[in-house]
Amino acid sequence: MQLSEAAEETLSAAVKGFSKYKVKLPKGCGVRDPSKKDEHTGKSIRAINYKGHDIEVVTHYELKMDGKALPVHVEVGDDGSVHCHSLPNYSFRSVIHLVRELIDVFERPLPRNRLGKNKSSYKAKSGEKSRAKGA
Amino acid sequence: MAGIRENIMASTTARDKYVQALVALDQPRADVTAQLLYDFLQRNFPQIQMRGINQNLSIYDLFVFWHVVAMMVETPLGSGRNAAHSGPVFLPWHRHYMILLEQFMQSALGDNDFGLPYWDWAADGELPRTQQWQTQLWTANYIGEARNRVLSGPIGGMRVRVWQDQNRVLHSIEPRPIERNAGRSFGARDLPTTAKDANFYDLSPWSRGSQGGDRNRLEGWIGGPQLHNRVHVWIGGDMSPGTSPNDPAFFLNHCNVDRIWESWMVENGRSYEPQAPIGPVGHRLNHTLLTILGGARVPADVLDPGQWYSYDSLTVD
Repeated sequence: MQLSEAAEETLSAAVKGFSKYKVKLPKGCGVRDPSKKDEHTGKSIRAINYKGHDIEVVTHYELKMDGKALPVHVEVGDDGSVHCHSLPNYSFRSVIHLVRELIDVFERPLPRNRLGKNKSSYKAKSGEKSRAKGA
Repeated sequence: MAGIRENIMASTTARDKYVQALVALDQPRADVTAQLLYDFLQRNFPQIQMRGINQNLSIYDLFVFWHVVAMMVETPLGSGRNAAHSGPVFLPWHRHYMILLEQFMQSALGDNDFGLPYWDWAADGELPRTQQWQTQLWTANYIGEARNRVLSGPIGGMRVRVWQDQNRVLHSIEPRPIERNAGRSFGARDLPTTAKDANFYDLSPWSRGSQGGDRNRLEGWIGGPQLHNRVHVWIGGDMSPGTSPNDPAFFLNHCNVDRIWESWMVENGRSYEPQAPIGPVGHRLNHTLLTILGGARVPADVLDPGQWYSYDSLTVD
């Protein structure tokens, strides 16, 4: 379907706006820097007050796949279900099920990186097949 | 002009226009490149990593990208909520997001009366499990195969170009067909069925942990995965990661979620919680919804969608 001139104008204007867009966030909001680790990294903390008692439950999962650490942050909900941000709509009763789903969804080859000024070479994941040709 | 949003299984006109518009917006264009997205991230969110090939992308890919960015912004940091999910803003953010897509589709079609169709997945949820992924929806005339690669019909020509890996790194990948895995995930072997039971919108802690409220029930965290979340898990494949809008089933799901919300508001009033000054930052009635395309809005602006669209039916079982 060929876009009309009017449609093309609308979409081009939107793209132009996007190319200059500067997002403003409310105070306190932001994106976590994955390279920075703090005391909460790898831990899930649940805290409640019950009958005047402050209760804190700290859960720490250490995941390994094929003998190597699997750097997935697992959060535990108050109902005991587990969640990870890589699968944003999922909640699991078991971390084993979570890891199985991660393998089913994410295990696939990815192209070499060519974006940005500092073109870091793509590091192969464990179990990855050969890189996409021409990438 | 306000469009009418129809059940995709009841209107072949709505179906055909939706499919036509998807294909049109999924065409790669020279002014939308992977480098452009990379530069956007460097300018706004350098913590979000993006890698891969520099290629022409599409307007549709921008919507995929927008969804990922919204998911990566924590509201506030460390809360478990993000700018589009796991909090009160879930419903108004997706409404705002879909209004723009709908407007772009209206432009592409040259039809200001076009409304995004919805998929009443609760109706399919009443079918026997083995039939749920074999309905007409998953055929070439609609949105293609429910399992493995989508190759049939016009949706078979759509391509996934932007994809997020398990470490939440964005990749510009070799274009490939959409992939699905309907009914195979251990987490959701069957589709949801709906039940309206909340008479308030949301409550503290305004998150996945909220024990009640229409928002958390509809998002699907209570006894999850349920409702909206369950559809994502049930379809699987490209509906699983943060780049889930790659699958046009995403918008059919969210349009139905929006319809259920609209049905709830007609019954319970156009109420929203929390209102300032209480509630988490980024989720209040007057807090700007995270936007990268088009004009900005706040939840208050979209509580009544009448100026943009209405639904053919607000009957929710």
